[in-house]
Amino acid sequence: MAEKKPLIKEFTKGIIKENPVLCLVLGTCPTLAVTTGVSSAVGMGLAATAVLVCSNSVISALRKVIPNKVRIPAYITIIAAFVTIVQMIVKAYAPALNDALGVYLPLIVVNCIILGRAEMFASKNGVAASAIDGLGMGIGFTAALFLMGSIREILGAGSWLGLPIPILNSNPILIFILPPGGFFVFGMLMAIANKLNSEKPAKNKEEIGCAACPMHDNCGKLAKGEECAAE
Amino acid sequence: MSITQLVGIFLASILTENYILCKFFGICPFLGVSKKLDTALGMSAAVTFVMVLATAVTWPIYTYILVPNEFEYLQTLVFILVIAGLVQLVEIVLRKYMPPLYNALGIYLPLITTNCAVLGITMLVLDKGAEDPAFGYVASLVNALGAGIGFLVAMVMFAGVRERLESCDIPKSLRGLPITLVSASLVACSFLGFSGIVDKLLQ
Amino acid sequence: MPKLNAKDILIPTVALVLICGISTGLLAATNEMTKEPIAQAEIQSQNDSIMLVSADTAADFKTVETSDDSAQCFEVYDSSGTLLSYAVATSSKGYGGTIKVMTGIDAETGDVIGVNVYDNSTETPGLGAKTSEDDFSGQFGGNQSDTGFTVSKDADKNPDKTSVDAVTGATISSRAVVKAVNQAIDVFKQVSGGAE
Repeated sequence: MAEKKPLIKEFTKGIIKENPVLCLVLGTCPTLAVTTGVSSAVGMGLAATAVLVCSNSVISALRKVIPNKVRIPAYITIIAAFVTIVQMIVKAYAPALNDALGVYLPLIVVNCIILGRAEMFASKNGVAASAIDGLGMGIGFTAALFLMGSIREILGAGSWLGLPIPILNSNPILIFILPPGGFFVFGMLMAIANKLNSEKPAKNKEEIGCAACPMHDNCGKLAKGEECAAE
Repeated sequence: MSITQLVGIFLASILTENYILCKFFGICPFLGVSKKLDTALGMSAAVTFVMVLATAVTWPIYTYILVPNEFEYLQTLVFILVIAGLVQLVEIVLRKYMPPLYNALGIYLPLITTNCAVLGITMLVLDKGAEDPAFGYVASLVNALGAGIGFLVAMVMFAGVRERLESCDIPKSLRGLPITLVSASLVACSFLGFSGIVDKLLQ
Repeated sequence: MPKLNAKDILIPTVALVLICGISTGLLAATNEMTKEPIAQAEIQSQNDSIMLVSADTAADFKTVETSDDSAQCFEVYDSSGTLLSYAVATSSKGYGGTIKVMTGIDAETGDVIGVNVYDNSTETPGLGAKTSEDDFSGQFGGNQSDTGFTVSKDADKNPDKTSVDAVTGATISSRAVVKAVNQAIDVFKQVSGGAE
């Protein structure tokens, strides 16, 4: 079904309509943590995109081979492997980025966007569509991080990508790069997204947190699957 | 390591290194389960329990198995699988031998595997240990416990804030997540005030 | 409750073991490939830092043994092989984690000629992380090896030390850098004293 849809649609939906951060509220931890500057935000976005494209393609290719019962552990293993590969490459060729992202780089493993896309999309669709879906979602994630990072760096540090901005540079509003600023900017962006969405007759997105997270379903299934295994 | 240092680690991990409000770990459960006080308590108790347990297991695995064999690069893979296995094991054990505890925490356990706070703490204590050799097994466990309690403190405080929010008249586009995040920002502000307090206390 | 037969258990187990095995193999291969560049990148960042805290004529350096395990000391030479200065790498606990500092000290006069904070990635961006900027680290200098430094906030307690202004809102990080510089001065005294 989804394979018949033009691939371009799989690509664009992740950037605007189903933006993982602003509309699906996934992967909030890195969104808040690494967006103190544009460069670390984009670095995080690209690293996650690379993992997303690779894991989506592999999981999609293996979707008929992996037994249903152990599918979540299998997905986690595949994702963890790709995350570690990306981490090693970043360490080797972009050590400054590795320092900036710190522990959040290996934590891409538990980023719900990746497991969520594996479960919701890659396990049901072909390799090409899954790879494109991963790319679109990844770019959507990167774009949202870029936006957050730009706002926080410009207001909080008075610079953009390290380039000083006049006036703001000598009077930065420090709070924006501190943790409270992260929550605040994210809240405001979501309010704007809500406002834009409410003008269209879109479905209500009042549900938050775990309820909107695709892992919510997985968690339930995980519990059920495990019950069978335990008994 | 002296008791004072351990107390310092414990307090620092609750106040100045609060996992939710300062380090942004575990934001999903923070936003999802903090609506009511009792679910907030249950979730954070389960997280604390798994954090300490996971640290207790992954620390020796890393130090005595991965490092001597130069398998450090398998850290992420091994840790996430260990945590996933551990969570399931805990669930089975609790259901069989401690049904009351299982009823209280059981539904939160499966959610924890993908909680970055748990994977985060197991990696962060190793980072700290690498920088400061005195930061050993006991200190790591104390740090994990403190991080869990810090998680609990933030969740419970925030549950209180959100119960008040329910009765407020909020502009339409701010309803739901946005206003929650803005209030989280204010709560995080209050935690900023703790910076330095622990060092001063123990000097 | 459905009865489990051998096939139901065996197939998932084998599949999972296979996936784990292949993943591990892939990781080992990547590790082999990236080991060298990672090690080089780490050395490179330290080397750059040594050059930053040395005079422009510096051309070469070699490691010196110290009795202080937490510090690394380097002798910096110019192109003709004359000992110019020492560079001492020390670290201390900042706000979020460890701050690594390289301190350059003139071999003859004992002047601090440069301070470079080369790893403070665990400090808060915009606050503690500003300790690596010249506005802060450029304050260290002059013939201070007898007394050491202190942040101006603590100047009352340490009247004999030279004070530097802490980064606004980041007293803990600033103190940590000062502490690391003072430790470097101690290491220098010990090393240069032993050499004479």
